[in-house]
Amino acid sequence: MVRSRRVRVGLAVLGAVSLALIALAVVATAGAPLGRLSASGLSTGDLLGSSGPADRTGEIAALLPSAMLAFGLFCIVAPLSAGGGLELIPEAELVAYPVRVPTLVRLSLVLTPLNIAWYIQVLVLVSATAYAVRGPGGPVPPIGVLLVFMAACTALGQALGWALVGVRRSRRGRITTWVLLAAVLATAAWVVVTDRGGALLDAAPTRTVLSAQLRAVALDGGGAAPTVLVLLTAAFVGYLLTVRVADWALRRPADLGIDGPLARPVRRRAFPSSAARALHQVDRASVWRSAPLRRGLLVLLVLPVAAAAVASLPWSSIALLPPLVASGAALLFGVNALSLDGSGALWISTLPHDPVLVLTSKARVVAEVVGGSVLLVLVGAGVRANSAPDAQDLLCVVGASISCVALVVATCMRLSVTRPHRAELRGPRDTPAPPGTMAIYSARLAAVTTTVGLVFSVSTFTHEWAVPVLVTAGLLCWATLSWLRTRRLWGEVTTRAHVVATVAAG
Amino acid sequence: MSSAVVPSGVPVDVRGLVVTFGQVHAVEGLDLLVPAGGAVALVGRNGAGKSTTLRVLGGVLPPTSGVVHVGGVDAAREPRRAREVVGYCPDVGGLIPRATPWEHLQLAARLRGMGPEWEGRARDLLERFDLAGASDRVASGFSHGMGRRLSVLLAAFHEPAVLLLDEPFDGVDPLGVEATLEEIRRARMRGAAVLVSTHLLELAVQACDEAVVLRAGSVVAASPASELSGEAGAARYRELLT
Repeated sequence: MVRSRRVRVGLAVLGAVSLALIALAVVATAGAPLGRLSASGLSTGDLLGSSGPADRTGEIAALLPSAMLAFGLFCIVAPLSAGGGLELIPEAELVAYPVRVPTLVRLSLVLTPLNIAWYIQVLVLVSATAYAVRGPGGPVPPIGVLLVFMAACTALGQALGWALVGVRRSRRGRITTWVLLAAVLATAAWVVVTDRGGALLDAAPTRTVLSAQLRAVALDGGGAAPTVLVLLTAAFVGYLLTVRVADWALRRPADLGIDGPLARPVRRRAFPSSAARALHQVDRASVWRSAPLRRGLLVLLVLPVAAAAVASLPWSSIALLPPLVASGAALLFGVNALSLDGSGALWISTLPHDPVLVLTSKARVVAEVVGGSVLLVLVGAGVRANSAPDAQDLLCVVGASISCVALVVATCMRLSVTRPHRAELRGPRDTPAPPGTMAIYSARLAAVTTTVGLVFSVSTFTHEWAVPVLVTAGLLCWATLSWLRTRRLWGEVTTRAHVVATVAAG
Repeated sequence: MSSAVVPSGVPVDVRGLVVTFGQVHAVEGLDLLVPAGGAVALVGRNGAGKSTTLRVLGGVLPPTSGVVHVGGVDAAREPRRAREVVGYCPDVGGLIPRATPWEHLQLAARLRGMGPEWEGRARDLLERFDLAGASDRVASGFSHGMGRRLSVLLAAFHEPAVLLLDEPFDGVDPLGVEATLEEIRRARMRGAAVLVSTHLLELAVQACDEAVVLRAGSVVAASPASELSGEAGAARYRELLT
């Protein structure tokens, strides 16, 4: 299944580190000292109408229902952005084989932890639960309740994702999808404009899960049982529903045939003024004409902007957004950017041109997508920030954005040349590399960009303008050196032949 | 319109070509000559080294050793100049999935530095290959046969001195086959050297005047293509393959 020994080892290490991190987080947070409750701090008593702990665990516990709600929303959005669920093997390659839909659904559920955003949320929720929900039962009972909740959300989210795939494949599917999206956006805007975000979060249905956790930790099994039973039922029903809905969705005619959008003519462009422009035009069109890339970009932009708008973030938190968005945008296609040409890479390599133009054009498109996404999210978050920025805030946010875009583009081009994969990026669930490789890439990008984001976030609290400026300059130098190394590598005829043969493999 | 480098001598001149991929010897000491106006069919079993040879001639793959001249240019030393004289139709796909035929032609015209007459030539080819109606649709929506026709069209677009066609007839309907045969005839008429790799022996005989049989990366026979036609020719070909 995973042929590359390097990827197999990488996945094993990633799996071991992921589990170890969760275990470590539970042990560390469950034994962490209890801070004093701040004067303005919320407590579980405020939320659940009962007496909560008079220390900082109450503050964290009070935030848990909102965090669980965010996880629930993520479980709905993630399959939507992936066109239903994750695929180990593209749908088009399985048509000749008798693979049953339940197998695909189970596979998709098993692959869920490979989504680093899902894993990070799990890590945060488990740690917060171990810290905040304390009692004679220890951390295991409340974490058990949390895991059942997560299973239910994941299964139900996939059912909803597949339902939308099916609806989209119907006669008026595209219009219906856009109407649904517009309705969701309008509701989010209404919540933001009328300042109902806080009230809505306070009334989150996930408070019931927190109640069950508090009862479980107090060894009140009878009190927690009804909620756990409901969640278990929801997980089971969600799984069955996913199988049925996915079966229905996958039997509908795909949106790729001769009557689909691929059959519609596109507008002709003027004759390009240079070779670089000609390549860039084709590359840019290759991104925007790919359904999975368009959908991924939409989700990537709408979610952070909506979340930032609802939350009214401080500038120290806004400095963390560019790394998140940059690595997310890169994972859409940037990590295997040369696959945009598909089998056409073979034909392009027979045209007389400077090969560096091809690489530069791909880097430019990746930079456009990553940089554009970061800019839009920053504007969205900046407009709704909780205060006006000072010069230090602006320096840090701009530095974080420029550094992350440069680092991500350099990393993407390096990976594209050294680890090419064949990827059509045509089907609704196509990814630029196999799921295992994507998991490793996302961990790698997240580690680098989050570190950079944290450095700039902390810098907002200092009054040393030189800190963000020097960090930005250093990171830009690093990215430039990486890009120059990649260019040199691409200049080698054997490397180029290997990349072209791989991405063009039929 | 025609290529910048005028072929001198024999347009395709390959001597002692060796291509290895790690432990695999794809081509072992291949010699091949295709004169101006000539057409040679490369035939043989899967893995015989036909496509690899064409990829080296097309400037996609570097040779491990040997001398490869196309249109009088050393393909290993001056790959960019070699690409100017070559038109190459790859064996699989060879198309940018989300670009239209017109965008492929625009890109080729720009990168090859063709003059404004490229548009007329493009329209003429699209008509002849029955792709005019699909010229603004993205290639990933094409049938296999349409994709093959477009690949042949792109290879012939700049009227190259060396035309390399890898499986040009694979999955193509009779009208498409006729258009491809006509393009080969036109190329030969203007003095281009044509190299066709195919498994379809009868079409190879129609398109070419010489056939070279490859086995395990080496030439096992070279003869007039007509000697491989009919039942007797097919029987001889089978003998050469085993």
